[in-house]
Amino acid sequence: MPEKHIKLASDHAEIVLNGKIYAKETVFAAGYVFLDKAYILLDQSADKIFVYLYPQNEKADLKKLAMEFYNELLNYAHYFTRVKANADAIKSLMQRALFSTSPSLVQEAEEKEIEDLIKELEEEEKNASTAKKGKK
Amino acid sequence: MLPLQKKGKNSYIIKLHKDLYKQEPLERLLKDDKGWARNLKAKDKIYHHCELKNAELKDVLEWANYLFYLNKTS
Repeated sequence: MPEKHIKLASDHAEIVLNGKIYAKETVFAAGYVFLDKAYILLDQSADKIFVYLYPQNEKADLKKLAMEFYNELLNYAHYFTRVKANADAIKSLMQRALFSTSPSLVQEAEEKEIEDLIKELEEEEKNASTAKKGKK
Repeated sequence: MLPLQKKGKNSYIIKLHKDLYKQEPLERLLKDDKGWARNLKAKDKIYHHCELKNAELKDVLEWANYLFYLNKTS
């Protein structure tokens, strides 16, 4: 890890993150895990996010704490990337799981889908007829 | 630069970036802690400026942690 991304002061560690690599949500998710072992302050400038970690235990190793924070960041960055990539699969699995516990939901979903299709067709017909009238 | 500055003997000024710290949880927290925390309502488009009076560094950091928690969960 390049040292320039971690600055150690007497009572806190400063971590400089590239906001294009680590989204705000990732920083908050990683910070949430650290709430019981560090006090966290955040700042932002252009595309950089600054994380200030004050250990709750004064004897804690600041560099180790900062490195652990990086690990957690990587963990959540990976998690969010996978969630995004697998969103469709997750959605379909969740739907299947819900439908298997309550078959009435299948019927409701089908009815809703049919209603939406009918509405869509009606709108298409309406648009087509207004276009014809316009030509005349 | 560290967004926390000591002001006087027992007071701190904390600058909270508006892109990171949402308005609603901050206002809720300031309302709960109005005895010692207040928004300075500075004309700054980037930061909320808050003053925490009669506080030790640990109190300020605990307050900031709770604000972080509120931002994450709200």
